[in-house]
Amino acid sequence: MLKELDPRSKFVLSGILATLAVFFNHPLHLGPLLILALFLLPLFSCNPLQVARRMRHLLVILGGLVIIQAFFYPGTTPLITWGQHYLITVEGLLQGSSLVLRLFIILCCGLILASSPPARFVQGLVRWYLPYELAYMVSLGIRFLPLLREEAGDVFTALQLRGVDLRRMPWRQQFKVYRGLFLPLITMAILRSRQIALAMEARAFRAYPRRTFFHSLQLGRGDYLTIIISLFSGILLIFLHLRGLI
Amino acid sequence: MSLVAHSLSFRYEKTDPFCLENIGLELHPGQCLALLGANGSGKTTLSKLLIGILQPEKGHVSVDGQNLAGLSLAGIGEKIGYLFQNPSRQLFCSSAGEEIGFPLQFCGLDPGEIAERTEHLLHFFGLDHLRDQFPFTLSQGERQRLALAAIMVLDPPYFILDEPTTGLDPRRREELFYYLQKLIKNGRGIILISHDHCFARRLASGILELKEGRLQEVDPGC
Repeated sequence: MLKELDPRSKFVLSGILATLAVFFNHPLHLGPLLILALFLLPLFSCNPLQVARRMRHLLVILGGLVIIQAFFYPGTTPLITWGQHYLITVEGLLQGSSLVLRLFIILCCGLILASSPPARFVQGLVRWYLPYELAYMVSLGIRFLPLLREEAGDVFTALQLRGVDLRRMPWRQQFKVYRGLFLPLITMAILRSRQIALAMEARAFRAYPRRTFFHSLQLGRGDYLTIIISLFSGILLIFLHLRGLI
Repeated sequence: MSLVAHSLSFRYEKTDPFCLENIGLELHPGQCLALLGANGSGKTTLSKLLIGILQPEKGHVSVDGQNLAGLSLAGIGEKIGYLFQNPSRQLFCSSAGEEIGFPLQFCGLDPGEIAERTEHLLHFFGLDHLRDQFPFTLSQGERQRLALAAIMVLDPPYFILDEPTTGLDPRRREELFYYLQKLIKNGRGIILISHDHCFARRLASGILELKEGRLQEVDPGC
């Protein structure tokens, strides 16, 4: 299973995928790249269908993005016209599709990276000479986001359970309620991060300038193979694209 | 007139086994039911089903004959007061006083009455001196009392209290006991989730225990 790979190999693989996603700008190139990324996900113990189910709200937004791009991107080949005006152009549709495909590929890269446990992820960054404090902050920040989301959700539920029906309120009053919630939520997040910092220091975080790891990362044959194949294919695809061969 | 759970079954993921199965209970006005169970037995999950935060896969909950599924959370909140297991999660205003009076602003009450009700609860829960404090800077026990005061201000007919004695000192616990007893005498129905067996047995007329996803009645005397 590729899940067991060293996080550094995953960085290289996802970095190459993300670079290609930004480099290519046509659905004919981005489509196969997305298929490749989707094919890789199960090898990293990620179920693409489960991810899609969880992100169904995002899918609606992405669908909206395609429509917006199709309408507003300036193009010369009309698909739907209204009098003299081009409503939807082929270029707009292609641009919108490319944007969405690109976002999906980058999302897949994130999922590949997230398949490593946070501790290994941090160690991987440290091995690449990123200061430990910074690496740990990145990993903590990633873990903090779902917590914040959950907390905001609970506050919103509590608000409604106290008899406040936002859907029935005029928008001005709604705005007032949301504005009132915003400051305490931010303050709570800051206070919580302070508590975490205190708890970390109490548990000897940065007690010594150098630190060791219980499990040490070691690049294996599979890791070298992944890094070499990723770099070679990435560079080759970019070269072929620049030469106009693909 | 009652809060009824009709054969509730629930699981978090479709692929998981049911964590609660065929749960039925009935709470009448003026009655207190204690819900006991080990950590992770599903007490909080059941309370979230009863308040409509989670939806059961089978069965339904009704309050005074009305299915919860047809009510908004705000509508449910007017009938059932819910104390979260972690009170910090339900406090969102910038001061303790504002926290208590918050929902009254939307009920069309005049400021005088809002202030009067707020003051009464601040005084009752011993929070007078903390009126202007930011809720998050209060101690665990103070936050617990504030959350209790905040849900009691709307005076709903039923309450679900998830571990209300956590963080309370013995004197406050005793005061809470008498306050809840008074609420029961005034016809309020309470479901009390607690690990404090002594408190629960003193207050409740019926004791229920959640074990392996099923609810069983326990002899209140033992």
